[in-house]
Amino acid sequence: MGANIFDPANLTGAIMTLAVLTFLIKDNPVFDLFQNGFVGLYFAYSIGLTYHSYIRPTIVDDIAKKGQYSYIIPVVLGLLVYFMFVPSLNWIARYPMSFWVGYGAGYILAFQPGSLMPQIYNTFIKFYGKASFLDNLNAILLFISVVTALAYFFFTVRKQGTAVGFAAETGRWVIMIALGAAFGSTVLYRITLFVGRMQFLLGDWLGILK
Amino acid sequence: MFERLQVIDRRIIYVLLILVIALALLKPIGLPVKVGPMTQKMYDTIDALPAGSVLWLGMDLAVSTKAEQYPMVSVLLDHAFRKNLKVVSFAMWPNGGQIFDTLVAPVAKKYNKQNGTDYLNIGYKPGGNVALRAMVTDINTAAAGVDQNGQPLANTQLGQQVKKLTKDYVSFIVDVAAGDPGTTDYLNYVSTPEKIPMATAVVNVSVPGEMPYVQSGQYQGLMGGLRGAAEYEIMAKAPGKAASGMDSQSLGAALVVLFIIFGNVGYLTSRGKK
Repeated sequence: MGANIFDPANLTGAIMTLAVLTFLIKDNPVFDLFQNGFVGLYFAYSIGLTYHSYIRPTIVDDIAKKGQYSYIIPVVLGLLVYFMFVPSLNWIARYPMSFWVGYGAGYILAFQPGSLMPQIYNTFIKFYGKASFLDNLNAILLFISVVTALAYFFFTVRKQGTAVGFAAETGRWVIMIALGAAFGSTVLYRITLFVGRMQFLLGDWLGILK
Repeated sequence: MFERLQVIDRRIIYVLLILVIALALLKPIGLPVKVGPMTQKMYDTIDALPAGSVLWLGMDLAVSTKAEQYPMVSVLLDHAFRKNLKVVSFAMWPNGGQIFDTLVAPVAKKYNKQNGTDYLNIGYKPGGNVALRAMVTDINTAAAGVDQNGQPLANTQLGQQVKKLTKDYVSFIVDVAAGDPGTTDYLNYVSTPEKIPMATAVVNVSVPGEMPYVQSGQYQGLMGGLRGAAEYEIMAKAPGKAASGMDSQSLGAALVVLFIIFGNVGYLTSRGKK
C-alpha cells in the first residue's frame, strides 16, 4: 500500500485521530476542540440530511404538489414543541409530548409481547430428545440463573435464613458474572476501535501496512 | 513491591497497548480464528437463499464503529452479490446511508452490480422504529419517495419491485446495528409480526444482550464484533480488515487481562499485609 500522507482526507483524519488520542496523556484544549468539532459536524450533517431527504420532499412534493394536506397535522403538531422556548406559552409544548408518550406506550404494548414471549418460554428447561449432556446442562443453568437473578430483586420479602435469601445470594453471583461478561465485551470493543484507528494511521495514512 | 502493581501509571499501559497493537499489525503472527456456531448459522442461512431473493440490510451504525462494522457490511455485500441476491438498504442512523454508498461501490464494481437494479440505498429516514414500521405499509411513502441521494425510488427497478417490507417482497433481514434504534426494533416491529427471518451484526459490546435471541431461534445467527466479521470473512473466502485485525485485538486483550491480574495480585498482597 502506498503512502498517502498528504492526501487531504487522510491528513484530516490523521490529525483528528491524533488530536483525540492526546486525551490519553490528559484532558486538554486540543482534545476539547476536536471533540466539539466532531459533535457539531455530526449534528449539522444529520440536520442537513433530514431536511433534504425527508422534510423538503414531504412539504414540496407530498403537501404542495400532490395535495396530501393531512400531512400538515403532524407538521403543526411537531412545530408546537418549539413553544417550550416561550415561557408564558410553554404549556402548549406538552400536547405533542403527551401525544408521543401515549402513542409510544401503545405502540410498544402492541408489538413487544410478540417477541418477548419466545424469550420467556425458552427460559424454561427444555430437554431436547437428542441434545447432548452439555446442552441439557446449559438449559438447567439458564433456568436457575434467571430464577435466582429475579429472586435478587424481591425486596419486599424477608430473605435472611430463607430459601428466597439463598436464591437471592445465588442471583447476586449470576448478576456479577453477567456484568463481568458485559464489561469484558466493552473492553474488547474499545480495543477493536483502537485497532481500527491504528489500521488507518499505519495503513491508509502512512502506508506501512502490507 | 507487589503493592505498586496497583498504581501503575495508566500512560505506561497505553504505550504498551499501542506498541502491542502496532507490532501485531506490522508483523502478524496469524493466530487461528475458529468459526463459531452463531456466525456459521448466519452464513448458512444467507448462503441458502435462492438467487434473486431480496436481502434487506439495516444500516444502523455510525463512523464511530467503523473498525468493527465496516468489514461486516463489506463481507455481507460480497456474499450477497456473489450469490446474486438483491440488496435493499435502509438506515435509522444518519450516517448509515452514506456508509452504505461508500462500502457498496468497490463490491458492486467487483461483481458488476448496478445501483437501482441489483441494490438500492433507501438511505436514512428519521423516525426510528416508527419509520421502520411505516416501511411495512409502503416503502415509497415512508421514504418520502426518494433514496439516499434524493433520486425518486419509483424510477428504479428495485424501487418498483420491493413495495413493502413484508415477506412477499423481502426474504431475509440483516441489521448491522451499533445501538438503538437497531436490531430489537427490527425484531419487535418487522421480523416477528411479519414473519420475516432475520439475523444481526452487532458491535462486541452488544453481543451478550443479543445472544438469547439466537438461542431462542428469533435470530438466524449473529455476527458479533470484529471476531464475528473475521469468521464471516473466512467462510466467504473474502479476507479483509477484520481478519487482519484479529491478531492485534487478541494480543491487546491479552495485555489488558495481564494488567488486570497484576492489579489483583497487588490488591490481594496489600490486603494480606493489612
